[in-house]
Amino acid sequence: MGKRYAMVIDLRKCVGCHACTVACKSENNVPLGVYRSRVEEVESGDYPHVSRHRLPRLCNHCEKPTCLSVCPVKATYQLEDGTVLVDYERCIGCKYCIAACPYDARFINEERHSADKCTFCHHRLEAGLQPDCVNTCVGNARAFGDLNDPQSEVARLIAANQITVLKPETNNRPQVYYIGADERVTRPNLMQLLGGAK
Amino acid sequence: MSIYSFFPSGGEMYWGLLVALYFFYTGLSAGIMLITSLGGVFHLNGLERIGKVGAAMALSLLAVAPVHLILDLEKPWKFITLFGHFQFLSAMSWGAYILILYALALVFYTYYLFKDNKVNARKFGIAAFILALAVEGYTGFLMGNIQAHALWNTPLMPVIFLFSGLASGTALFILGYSLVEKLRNAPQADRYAGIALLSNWLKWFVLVDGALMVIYFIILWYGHADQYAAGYYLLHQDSLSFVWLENVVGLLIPFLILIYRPLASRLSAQILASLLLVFGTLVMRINLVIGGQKLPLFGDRLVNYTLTSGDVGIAVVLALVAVVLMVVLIKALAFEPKKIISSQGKEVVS
Repeated sequence: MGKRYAMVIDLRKCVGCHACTVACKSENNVPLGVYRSRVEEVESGDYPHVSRHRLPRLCNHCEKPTCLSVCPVKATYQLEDGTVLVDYERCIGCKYCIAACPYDARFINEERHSADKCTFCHHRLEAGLQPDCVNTCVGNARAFGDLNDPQSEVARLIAANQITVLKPETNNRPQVYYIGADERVTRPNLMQLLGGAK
Repeated sequence: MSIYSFFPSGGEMYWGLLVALYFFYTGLSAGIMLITSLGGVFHLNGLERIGKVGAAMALSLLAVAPVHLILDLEKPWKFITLFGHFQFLSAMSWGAYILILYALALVFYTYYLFKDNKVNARKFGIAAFILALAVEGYTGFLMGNIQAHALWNTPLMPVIFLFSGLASGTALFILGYSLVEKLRNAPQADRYAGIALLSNWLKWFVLVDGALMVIYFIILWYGHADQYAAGYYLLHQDSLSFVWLENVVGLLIPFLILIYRPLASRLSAQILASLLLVFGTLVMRINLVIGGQKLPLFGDRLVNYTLTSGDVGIAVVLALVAVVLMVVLIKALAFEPKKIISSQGKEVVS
């Protein structure tokens, strides 16, 4: 069985320092105003009963990625290890993949005039390194590796913990797993946002 | 319990006015083709006269429709790539081929209509008719397939696009055709025959269109959390545009005009109803494309849409191009040449 890359993010260890966001931008030359990896952070409740929740977000490198199936020029493709990549040259910038991604993980790179997103730092993986967000995480909240290897850290974390994925109902089968994710940050509270019942 | 988001995504919307206008123009073109080919192609009584004007209008609208989409690309010069890498699961990929085949069928249909070659006109008319159905359907699938946006993700979308295309196409055709008939001084009885029949159909299209909107809204309201929020958004945050402009001004009032007998038989009332319907469909396309992306996937801010002057400029220029094309094509194709008897008794054409 070949490799199947996945990431596990243990939110109990995430301190919200945003070092992953900065490292990603620096490593991948991500233009200003857009992000391949970012950290959502919400505060919920009313004083004195408040809590704060974080959610590092990136491309979920789904097993059944909608972005891949909607791309009209096959610019989005998937490697055997599951990594979803974009052929920046072939991409015509129709933005259909951006509209289709349920994880809001894609954006237009104005310098390349194409869709862009996290690649799991594919260039680093090829050099035998970890993605830079994993490498940088001060709380050691991120683990990355081969899901098909039962001895890998990601496989062991998934086996030993209660994990969640984002929006499982979309059947994209995302490969970024979360430990300790709180629903207050994994989904927007649309009714509160619209001024309706909370 | 209040929830406050730090470092909000604050994303900008990626599909805007030009995409909405693309859906608007393709819907109009296919709608006009479907209706006006019924006489010439399918021998429906009372509609034989309207084929040429319909073909000219459908072709003019189709000529500008994809330009909106091409100019909305980040790499407009690479749009031709769409034809090199067919993606079976992508509605947009299907759409590229459907649109080009529809355009070809429509061009040949118009050409043979002009040449009075009824056999070939019928062959290409049938092809264009089927492809027009596919155009309406694919645009609906293009949005309906997208799970990320609750407002789009409904199996009703292709049917909604089909009937709004039929209604708005018929309405725009009534406007164009009544003008053409007036310009060519057609006898009142001739002028009115086709329009009366079409406006009779129009009320049924509007009725189905309205019924679909009600069903669509009920499904949203009783759907999952995101769908309910989308319905709530339409009713509360977007009520001026969705409730009043799109559905009251754009559907209900035209329907009332078309079913109220003392008004329904008047050409001026039919023209007013048609104008409102075309306007309502334009608003519907904008509501759907832009409104559909308003609700964020994460965070606690509505997604921004910034209307750029560039997009407005493109929209205005292409609308003018469509009108000029329509005038030129109708004049060239749809006006019968005047027959004059020369002094030698021979028939010549002016």
